[in-house]
Amino acid sequence: MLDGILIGLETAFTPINLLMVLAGCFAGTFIGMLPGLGPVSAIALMIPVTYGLDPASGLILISGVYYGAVFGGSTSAILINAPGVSGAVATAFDGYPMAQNGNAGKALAVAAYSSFAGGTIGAILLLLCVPFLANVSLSFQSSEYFALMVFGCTAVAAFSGKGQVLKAVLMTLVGLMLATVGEDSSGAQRLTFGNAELSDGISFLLLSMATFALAEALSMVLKGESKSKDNESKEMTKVSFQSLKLSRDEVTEIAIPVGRSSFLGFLVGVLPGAGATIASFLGYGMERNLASEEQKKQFGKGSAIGLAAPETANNAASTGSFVPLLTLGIPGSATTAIMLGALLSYGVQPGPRLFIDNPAVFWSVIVSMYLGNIVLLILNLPLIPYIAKILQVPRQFLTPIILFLSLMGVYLVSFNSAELSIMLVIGVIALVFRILDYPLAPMLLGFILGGMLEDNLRRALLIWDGSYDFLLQRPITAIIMMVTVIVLLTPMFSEIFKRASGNR
Amino acid sequence: MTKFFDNKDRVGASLILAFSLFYLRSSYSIPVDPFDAQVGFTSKTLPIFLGSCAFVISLLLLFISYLKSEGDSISEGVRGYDWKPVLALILLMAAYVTLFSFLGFVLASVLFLQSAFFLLGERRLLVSISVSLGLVLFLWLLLTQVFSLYLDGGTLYRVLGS
Repeated sequence: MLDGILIGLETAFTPINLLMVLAGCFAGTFIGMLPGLGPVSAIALMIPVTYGLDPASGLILISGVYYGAVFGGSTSAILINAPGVSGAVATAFDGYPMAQNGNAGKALAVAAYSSFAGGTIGAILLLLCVPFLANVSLSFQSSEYFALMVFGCTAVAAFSGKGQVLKAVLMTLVGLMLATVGEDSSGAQRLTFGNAELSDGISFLLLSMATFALAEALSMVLKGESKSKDNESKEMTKVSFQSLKLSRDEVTEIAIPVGRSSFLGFLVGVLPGAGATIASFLGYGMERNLASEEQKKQFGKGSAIGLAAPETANNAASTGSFVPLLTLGIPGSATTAIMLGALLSYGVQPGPRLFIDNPAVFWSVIVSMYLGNIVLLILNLPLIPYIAKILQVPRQFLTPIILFLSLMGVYLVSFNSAELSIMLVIGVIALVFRILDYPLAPMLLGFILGGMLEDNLRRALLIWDGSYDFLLQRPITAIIMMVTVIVLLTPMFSEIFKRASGNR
Repeated sequence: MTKFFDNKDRVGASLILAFSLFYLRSSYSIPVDPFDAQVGFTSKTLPIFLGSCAFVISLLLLFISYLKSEGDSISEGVRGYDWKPVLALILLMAAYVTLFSFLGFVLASVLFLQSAFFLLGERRLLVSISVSLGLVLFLWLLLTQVFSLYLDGGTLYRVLGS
């Protein structure tokens, strides 16, 4: 492991990669701060930029963008009560009241220190977990991978909000269906309808840009968020450098909750599908339950613990979500799903072999995650008073620029204007489903896992002479499939159980 | 009829139901490799399975939404939504995509940004022109001069140039 860390340090500390961490954190903070645009959109917007880089640098840039966007999302949640991402919603519960009470700088500092602590503890846990899990999963065969892909697809659906499970399953299926378009591994053209543009399949970049960046920007206009809230934001975004300091008592108050939330966040993040949002709410809920009566009264009115807990948990979960991606090759969240797509387009296959085949990529990502946290704390925090000014840029300029950059992002990779038409159509359809409250992240996950799922199933069937017995006869496959069924059915049964108890 | 479709779950499920039917129908006409057929897993096995699952689940969702007396109403959900600028932006993007090859990167992009700024309420012409022109020229210089990428000048430029 020490050799690996050294390889990671060597790769991450090259000038170009250090620049990537810096650039990624800044770009991510800027994009994440814009209400409506979260890490997923930020990464989608940055992917075209990474295509000219080598895999390690590209992934380091993306990781930086990820952390930056999470940090940026919290900043807009605290300053103008507009969480850029769902993971920052719980941050706004106490962060915004703190800012309203005239402690905007302090709130930002609490968020930054908590994020740093969550990220640090998360990175250490990741460092310990990943090589161990990667070694275990080296014994996996196609059948286990197939089972894992199925688990990855269903887990996201299972962790969806109340009443969303069926919709999430349906959207995962739509993603899987879209993944079958184009030439398959046997060379057959599927569902292309003679259209040459579709013979290579739908591009992952196109789909992610259309469903997140484009649909998100249009959704902002639809909800009237494209109009500037000038008066509100100008006042709230005035943050001075001096106000970013914390007293010793304040640090002592949040230290233990930060430690607890880091572990909780990491564990939740490791579960495929759970992610930063659930972690932040769980962190907030746990600390609220553990708080003294006096502290409890402060929750919702600007409690430092109420702000620190979700921020820590959310960052630790972001780190934790890399565990299934790096060890098993299955993404645990929409963000890591996009990262998986980016890795695949570099020709890098995440999973246990990544650890052996591409140790530089594997370890440099882990090391750069930590570097990203340091950059955010040392460089971004002092710059917050200036970065926050982006919230004052009129939305009538920002929205068209986002639309333009999304379209250009796809064009500059393919240089094919026909792809832009497909992107526009998908973007409009995504907007319709967004309005209808159908989750889009499971669709993207299904799309990314679809190809691997089919390839592994095909290979497993070849090995087993066309028999599906491997689902029961290979112990690990059987266990994963059983867990999949349990994870998928639990929310349905709990809903039925709740209704039954309610009727009694 | 209108009331029947004033439900988010129902409309979404109906759309996916229609898509899955179309997908299923298309999946049956996928050509099959004889070798794959022996293994029992062909190019159309997964598409047919996925299409069938989507068909069944969307039907189930439709059925559940029908059983629920109250659902998420679309008319209530979209109340206050600003449709006009969204539709105008979509049309504008369609025009941008269509005219991109003819007008070329610079002209098409400046016109797109300029019109979008105007659509969203920006009336200061000098400011909006500076932003759109500045951004597009910066990108153009970056891509063509720094990254040495070729950006199509457009048919119009070539016609005028000759």
